Amino acid sequence: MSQTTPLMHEFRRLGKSVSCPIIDMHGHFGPFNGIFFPHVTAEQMVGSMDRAGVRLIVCSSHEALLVNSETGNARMADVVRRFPDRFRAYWGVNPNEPDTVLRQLDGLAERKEFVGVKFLSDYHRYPITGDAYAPALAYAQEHRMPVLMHTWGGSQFDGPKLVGEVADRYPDLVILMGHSGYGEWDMSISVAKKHPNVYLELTAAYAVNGVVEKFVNEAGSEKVLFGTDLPWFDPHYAAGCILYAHISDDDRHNIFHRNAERILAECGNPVRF
Amino acid sequence: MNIIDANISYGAVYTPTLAPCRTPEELIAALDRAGVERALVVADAIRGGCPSEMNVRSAKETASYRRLMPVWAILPLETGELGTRTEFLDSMKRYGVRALAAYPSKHRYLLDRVGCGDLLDALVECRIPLLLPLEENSGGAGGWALATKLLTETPGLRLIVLGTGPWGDDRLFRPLLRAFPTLFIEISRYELDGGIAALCGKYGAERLVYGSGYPHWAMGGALLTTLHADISEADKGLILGGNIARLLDEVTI
Repeated sequence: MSQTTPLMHEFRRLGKSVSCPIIDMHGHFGPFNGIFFPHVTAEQMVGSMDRAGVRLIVCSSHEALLVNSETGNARMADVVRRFPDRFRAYWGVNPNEPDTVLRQLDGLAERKEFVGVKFLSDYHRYPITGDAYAPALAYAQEHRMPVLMHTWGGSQFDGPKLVGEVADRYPDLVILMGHSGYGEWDMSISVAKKHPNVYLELTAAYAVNGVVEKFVNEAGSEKVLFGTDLPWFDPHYAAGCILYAHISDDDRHNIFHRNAERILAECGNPVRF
Repeated sequence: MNIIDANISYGAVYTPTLAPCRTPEELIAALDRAGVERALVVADAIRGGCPSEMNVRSAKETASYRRLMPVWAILPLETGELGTRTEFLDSMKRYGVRALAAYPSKHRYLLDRVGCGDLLDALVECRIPLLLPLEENSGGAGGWALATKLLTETPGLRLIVLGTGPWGDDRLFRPLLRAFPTLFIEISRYELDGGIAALCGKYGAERLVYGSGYPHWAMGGALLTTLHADISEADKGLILGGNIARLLDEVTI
């Protein structure tokens, strides 16, 4: 049994760390049909972030993903403009409206609010390997914009094996496997190890005891990213799972902020705290 | 602050498990690392095996660990596997058991007045808390519907629902918190941002009970969330141990 570490003590005492900021690479914005959010406004989200030492969050709009991509993405951009030091955005892509996707991609890379794109394929019932996603994938690769994919074990739409197929087709594309292909841990690790630009993002996965250790031991902490689905999940919950996992503080620094800093910098959006 | 974990287990691995906790010794080490003083513990053998044997066996296994408080599983008294009502309560007293759990799906019985009425009445009379995992089903009712049925049919039952999920349960359980004053929510999987503070503000911290779900769920999630929730230190103390300590102290067997 590994012992406690300075970072564990600091978070337990203060709820955050001065030396170890957090970057949340998997956030959302706005209400959602199936859940009550006590903290749903941007101001409330910033409050939660401050409590846990989350310096920056990259979000996609629920509205953009599930209701109206035009108005949802516009509201998301507005949040980034209001809180330029705390929010960045993913452009929410709806593959079931492919003409709209093509039109919306035009000039996206020049819009500084948006650092990447977001797929929610299980909800859209459309596979990440489908033709409707191809323009967005090609665009994201060309413009070095990360793609955050909702991924879930066993899914015919976004299971980790399909992520591997996308990574084979787009070798320079940065893919963030949201939820790390929840449940299909070995396949997710295999895909992340094979492809230098594929990362394991921890939202929800962190809660499964032993997952964080498995990812760090088998894929390396350089391939693991912090995420919470905020406003869904309390950042302290995710942080607690990572802090009490049997890994080193150096690994925790990688997961909490270093990897995200590197990805954002390599994509032309360096973080300055 | 004396932290008590109300949802923890140990046992041999019979299904794929990433990070098992096989023995009480391993459990104690995990509690030490997390700074947790005591725990209500369910031996996996009680779920995977038959409570008629495993209840007592688990109590013997943990007897030398003052910090581990054994939880037993119930069955309908009709089959006689747990003895008569008096024998069962006497056995609980002998082994220091002050909380029970129900697994009607796993153990195949109806958790209702017909199936368990006499035992449920004993729980009310003796103020014994009943732990009910949210994934359990009985007679076509599961989760919050089962909790509603139980509390409607057996007023005063001290029911602690385990594993309130992360995907949005407030619309389901908040009406129950209002309707049933003896319902308690265990928070091992209650990850909702701002959720704990919102519940404390509306229903009182007395209704929440800290648990980790370890080793199936990670030890630190609910712990750090509660330690830094936007609530008073007094409320944190209630959630992290005060409430379950009070419930156990009020047992009258």
